[in-house]
Amino acid sequence: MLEYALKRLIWGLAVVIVVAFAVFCLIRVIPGDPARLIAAGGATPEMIQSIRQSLGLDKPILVQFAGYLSQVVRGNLGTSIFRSAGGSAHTGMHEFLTPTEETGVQQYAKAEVLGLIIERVPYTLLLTGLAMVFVVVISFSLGILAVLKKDTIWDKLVLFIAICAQSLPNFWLGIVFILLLSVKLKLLPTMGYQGPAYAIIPAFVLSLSLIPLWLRIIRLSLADVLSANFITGLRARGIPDRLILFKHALRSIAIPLVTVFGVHLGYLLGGAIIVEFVFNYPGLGLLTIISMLQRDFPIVQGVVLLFASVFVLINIAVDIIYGFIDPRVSLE
Amino acid sequence: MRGQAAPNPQEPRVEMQQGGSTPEPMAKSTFWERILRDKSAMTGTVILAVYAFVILFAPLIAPHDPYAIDVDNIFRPPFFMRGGTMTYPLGTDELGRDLLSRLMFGMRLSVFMSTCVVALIVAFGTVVGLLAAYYGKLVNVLLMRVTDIQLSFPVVVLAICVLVYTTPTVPAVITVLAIGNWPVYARVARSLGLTEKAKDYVKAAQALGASGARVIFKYILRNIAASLLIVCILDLGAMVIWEAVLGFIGLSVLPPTPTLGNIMGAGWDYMVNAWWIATLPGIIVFFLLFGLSLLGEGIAGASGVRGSMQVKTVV
Amino acid sequence: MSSETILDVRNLKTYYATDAGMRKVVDGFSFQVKKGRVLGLAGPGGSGKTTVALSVMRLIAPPGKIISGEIFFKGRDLLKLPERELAKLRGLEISIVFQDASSYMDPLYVIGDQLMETIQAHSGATKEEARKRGIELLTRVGIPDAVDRMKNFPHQFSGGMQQRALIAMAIANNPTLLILDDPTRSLDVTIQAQVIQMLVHLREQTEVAILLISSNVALMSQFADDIVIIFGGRCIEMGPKNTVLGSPHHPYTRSLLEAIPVLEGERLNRLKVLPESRGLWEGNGCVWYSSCQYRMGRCALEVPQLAEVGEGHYSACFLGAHEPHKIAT
Repeated sequence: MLEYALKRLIWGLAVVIVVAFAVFCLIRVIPGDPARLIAAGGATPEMIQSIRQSLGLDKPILVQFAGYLSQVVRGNLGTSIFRSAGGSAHTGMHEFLTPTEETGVQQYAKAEVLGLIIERVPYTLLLTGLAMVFVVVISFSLGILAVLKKDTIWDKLVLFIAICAQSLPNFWLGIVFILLLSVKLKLLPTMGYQGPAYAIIPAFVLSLSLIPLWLRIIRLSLADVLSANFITGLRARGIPDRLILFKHALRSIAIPLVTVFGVHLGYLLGGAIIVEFVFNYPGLGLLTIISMLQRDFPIVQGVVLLFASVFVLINIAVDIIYGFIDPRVSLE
Repeated sequence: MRGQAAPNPQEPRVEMQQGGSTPEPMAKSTFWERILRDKSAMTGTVILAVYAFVILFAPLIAPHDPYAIDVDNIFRPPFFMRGGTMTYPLGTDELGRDLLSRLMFGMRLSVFMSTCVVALIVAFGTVVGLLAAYYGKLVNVLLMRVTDIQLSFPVVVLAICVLVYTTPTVPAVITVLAIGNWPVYARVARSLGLTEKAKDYVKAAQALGASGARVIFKYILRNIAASLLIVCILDLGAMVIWEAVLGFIGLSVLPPTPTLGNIMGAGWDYMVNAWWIATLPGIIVFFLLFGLSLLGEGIAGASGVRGSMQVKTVV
Repeated sequence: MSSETILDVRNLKTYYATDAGMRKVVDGFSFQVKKGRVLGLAGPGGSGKTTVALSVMRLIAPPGKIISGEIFFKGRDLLKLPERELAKLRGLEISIVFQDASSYMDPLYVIGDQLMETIQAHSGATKEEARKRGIELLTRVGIPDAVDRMKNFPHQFSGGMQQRALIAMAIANNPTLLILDDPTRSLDVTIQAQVIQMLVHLREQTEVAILLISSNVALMSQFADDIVIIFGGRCIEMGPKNTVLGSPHHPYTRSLLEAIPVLEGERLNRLKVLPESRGLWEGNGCVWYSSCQYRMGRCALEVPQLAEVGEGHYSACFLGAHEPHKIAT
């Protein structure tokens, strides 16, 4: 068991490094010279070159990457190009100008990427966690309803809901919610964040991307399980239906759900990015989009590194949990 | 304790309620018969037919040129609202361009791009997935590892990474979406292939000396064709949503070329006073996906494939 | 000595809807099981035996349906009881042991859990009490190291032990009626013997009424008191074991018993002579008509009723009690 976990962890680390390297290269290889962007208009070639040097962009990629990795291991994910430590974004020029009488520009300390990320993580956690709760509660209630009332109007209704939820681009639903609730009806404030309640509607919108998937899996698996022999055996022993459903049937469908859980989390994180953007919710997603649009690549790198690590860890955890849930599986 | 005369097979006397009605004997039917009888599948087909019509004939039936600017008529609301006219049935955007026409052309481009993406990932993913399933060992491990890596972070991030730094032309967007979505597809094909491989007809074919992958491909492919078709149909919808997402954040094809996504993206800025620009495209996307889902479910039901298995949504 | 009738099934009809039409799996079947006695229900594969068992427990699920009939258990018609009442009876007063034991246990829970579950479902026993009883039951059915075995998962048991565990669950609450559906089918011969031994002990110790379903005639002769033969969903012969096996009347029973001493031989014979009654019964008349060597004209037109051919011995055949069995020309 332990050596299995270890093997997976090592493989996971390799995956994370490869991913980080890929993004690293991607950003530097694709046109859109960061140095030039930092310099903005009116910069001389020499200034651009000195910026490039100070950012280490003139060295070969592998060297740069090695340097980056060595920093990461020490807990330093780099510094933002645009964001200042005070929390507002400025153009990057300031860092490279020493205050002189001519420019009279103050030097702003740049925000640490790691710090920025850590600051935002709780918000995204809240959003994603709440969304997951919605997914589980809603899909299980509807799924169980659909199976118990199989082939009746309820079953069709649940299927209809699933199809609708799947057909909606969920950011669009976010837009509609904002429109209805804030703009037209002036009921609730929906954008930004001033307390945990602000996470509710974005979380709900986010959950809609997973609900149809889970509904299908639950409906199918539950129907399968309920027609299995061992359920007949349980009924033959007089075990009450409620116990059969909640103790035995649901436990059996936990397996297919756990299997897809890792991948679904990826969808959820990706979805969080867009949803945060729509709702102006100050989490990692919003940070990512804005940083990307600004070409603030240290932040982009840091976030990708985080995502990849989280995803890998979750997948490993899922594999191990799977081994516990299903006693027939032996991890090799 | 006495035996009874043979019961009349036509009318079994129903005395017990076991839940559900008296079992009716089912006639054997063909796939086409079943699907034509399926009301929701037919509804879906009708919806899709309408879309196909609009897409194919957009240049002929669109009331205006989607690029035509009309500064006197900016932000006209749709006809069913105060201030709307029938000249611009669904209103206009910030440059006075007719929204209906832009939506028609936008549909065209979005669906075209999505079809290309699906075609690419189906071709590539299926081949790779089936190869991995059939040959196993090295190819299989390789595939799993590569897709592991690629699935390790959300496609959104990948797409944004690439498209931020290049000009988002149609081929570029298609490529990015294809690259982002093929791993899931390959895995679907692989798991379908593995299920088939364990079936007897494969062993029979092998025993008959079927020459390697080619012939097996022919058999296995034919048998999973129905499942693949369903996944294709549903993926088409998923890709439309992807394009919409990218367009919304400004990473799809750029205006003035209309796509469903970038119309919504541009409209986002004007939500407060011209909400229709961002909202109406979503309704169009909704009905397209709705129709696709109905058709997909219908095919699944009629061909006996269990549920629509690997349906994935996007964001 | 007449003992109390525990189970009285009258004219049971259970049909299944299939793609090919309505299958009359059980088509007018009646029998009785008495307290302290074993009724053997024998017949070939596909004759409806398991369906009879499931019908008695009312565990028939769509596409199957109990069409008509009466099932009196201790005087109450089970087919008229609400589901809630039935659940109280199942596992407590009526128990069933299925063949292929492993698929009837939840693979995700240990045997001990499932055993205790069934005990606690019907009594107010505490966890500790249930656990003790569980260990006692496992030991009683001949499972060694019962205490450790309680913590095993079903897949960790061998086939014979799985069957015995299932039997333990069935007798846990001292049922009045025990239905055994071919309990020795998937077991090898030595294990079979052990399980049968155990059942014989059980029978001696309690007054449980047993309905033993099997296509294994040797088992019947060893264990049953009375035998009823089912073919094509209908009863074709019934009576005390010795009579039915010693002087079988119905042509089907005769061919069934033709080569009893050698088990392999019997099987070979069965393949040749006894078709499995799987097809839809199309016509009117005797279910055995198409394979009967003694068939007469009227056999194709009328259904023979069960008629007395000896002391307590009934056969559904137009051949009278003492008519010589003439091979049809």
